[in-house]
Amino acid sequence: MSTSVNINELNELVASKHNFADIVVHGMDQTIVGQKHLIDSLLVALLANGHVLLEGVPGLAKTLAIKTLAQLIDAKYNRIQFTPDLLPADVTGTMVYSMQKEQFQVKRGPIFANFILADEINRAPAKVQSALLEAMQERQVTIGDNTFKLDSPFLVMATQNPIEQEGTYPLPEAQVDRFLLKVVIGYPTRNEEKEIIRQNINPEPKVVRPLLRPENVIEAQKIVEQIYLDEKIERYIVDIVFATRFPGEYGLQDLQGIISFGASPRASIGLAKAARAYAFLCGRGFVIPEDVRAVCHDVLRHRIGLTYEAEANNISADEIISDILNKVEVP
Amino acid sequence: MKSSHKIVAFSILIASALSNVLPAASAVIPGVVGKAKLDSVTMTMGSKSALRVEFTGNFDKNAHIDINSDEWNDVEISPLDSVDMKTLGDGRRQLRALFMVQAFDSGLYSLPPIYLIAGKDTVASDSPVLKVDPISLDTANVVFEGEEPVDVKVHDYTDVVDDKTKFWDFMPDWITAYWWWILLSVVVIAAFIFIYMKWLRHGRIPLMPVKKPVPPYVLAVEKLNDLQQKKLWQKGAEKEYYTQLTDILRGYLSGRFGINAMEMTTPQIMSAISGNEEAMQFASYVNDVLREADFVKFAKAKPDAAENELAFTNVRQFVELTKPEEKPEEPENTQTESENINKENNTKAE
Repeated sequence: MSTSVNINELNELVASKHNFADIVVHGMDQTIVGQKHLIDSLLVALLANGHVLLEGVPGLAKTLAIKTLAQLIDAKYNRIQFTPDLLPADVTGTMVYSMQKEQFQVKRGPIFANFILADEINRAPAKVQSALLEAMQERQVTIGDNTFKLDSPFLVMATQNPIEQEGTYPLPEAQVDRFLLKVVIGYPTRNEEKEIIRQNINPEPKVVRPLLRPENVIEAQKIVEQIYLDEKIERYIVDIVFATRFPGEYGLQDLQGIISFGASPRASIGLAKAARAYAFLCGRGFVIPEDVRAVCHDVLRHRIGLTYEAEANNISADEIISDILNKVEVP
Repeated sequence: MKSSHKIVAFSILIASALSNVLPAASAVIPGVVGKAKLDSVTMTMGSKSALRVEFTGNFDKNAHIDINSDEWNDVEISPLDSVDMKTLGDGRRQLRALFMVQAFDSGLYSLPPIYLIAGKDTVASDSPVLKVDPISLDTANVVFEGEEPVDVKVHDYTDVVDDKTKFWDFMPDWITAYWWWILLSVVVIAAFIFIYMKWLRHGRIPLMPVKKPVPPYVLAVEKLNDLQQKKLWQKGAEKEYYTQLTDILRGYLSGRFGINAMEMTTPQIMSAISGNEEAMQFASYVNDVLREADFVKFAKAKPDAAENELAFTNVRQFVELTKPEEKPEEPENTQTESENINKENNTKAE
């Protein structure tokens, strides 16, 4: 079998840089027990140049994961704890008057890093959330008259606790849409839990040494951008997204009453980008339907609005996505 | 009616008429006349009658109507129902009022006057007469000793009436009205079904020909033959060729094994096949075709002629190897015919 030159070259290119993913996964496995889906999702978001919204109860290694990733890549990492009294300037930075120089000087905020952990993002008011999300979208921050480009790679991992909802400011749909992935993480298994105990009672904690440079990430991102996405896959993505908007047209009449609004065009873009990144992780230079399905839940779950009827019947967005995937014809 | 009753009634009427006609003698304000008139001068106990009062003359516009409640003992009067004052010209005014009167004791009453109060002056209306009749009582079941009743037959509550409804009473009217026609229609339909079923049992062609579903094997073979004739890969349309080839294969898997292959990816299809004993034996044919097709469909791969032919052969081979065994036709009709022949022979022999 002979394939056209581009795909062969791409496959070789992916194969040559695929060790990037192996290094990250191996490095993270040293400190994080289990949570394979979390690690994969972080890699997908990093390679697709997107951001991750993480939902899970406290103590599931969310902070440790992004901290380890930052250490492995030898990149700058900042953690911002979102609180109700946080101000936009606390995130982006502000102008401070210098007595010595007798002028205002820019004091950069914690957003100026490669990896940001926005912990409990829903605890801060909307103006702070939007300041962060604007920086995420534009990848630049304006303080006073000066605009600063953010360092690359730039990955924001925001967390929110699904249990405590009192005194929180839930992210509006338009802002949640800016996250490429929303990952829901669960508890570890029994064996994983035992391993976690052993690792944490050990008096000598494992030291994470940097194995990669930020430039390696940028190189990998450029390769991911070149991964071939066939027109058939594009049509498959469009079918999935349209099925969230017009389920009746895809034989999903049952879903009509439980979806208040379907996924946006940003979801289609996100699916394509994330599928490409997943194909890279699988060592392929082209996307297959399996890649789309693998990232579909994470990309779509925060972009589908549920009606009151759905919530009353305990129907989750994940169930709706599964129904859609089981009904939309695979190319 | 007895003559004494007639005299009483006549005297009431005369008195009432005079009281309505004669002007009030109690007018204090010169030129102001007050008239009171009952709509009905006779009524039964507990009934109501309208009392219309009218004052006409030169009085101030602030004048108002009043009643002296101490005078109204035997007959009850309602509060003022409506008042209407209008100017007649030359400073003259007319004030009309409406009351309702009611009495609970029988008798002949001369109603107290209604007063018009204008500043410090008062004018009284005339006093109409009202006769209140008692309500007639049934005393047939009362035994009196003198004037006192000693035995009154008081009836208890009646028993619950037995509701003698029938089944038909619960039916809609159209059923009870047309039950004969409905019964007839049911009999005709049942007879028609019976005859039709018997007709079918004798091997006759059904009135509505039932479209027999095409078996998945036949459908797949037909489509494969069509695809072969199209010569797609020979024309350079490998992508279309593999798309149609895999669609035939996935359609066959769906029809033959109930695997929803049209909505599954290659790994999912292989996983589903591994759970099916019959299909599992020949899974390699499917795997080879689907893996190769994925490369052609999604990675611009251009297989050579031998690979294209092999993919086609693999699909055909899988379809042939998993072809369902044909069931022998049920010998029901043959038996019936042979039984009939035997019966005929027996009859002839007899």
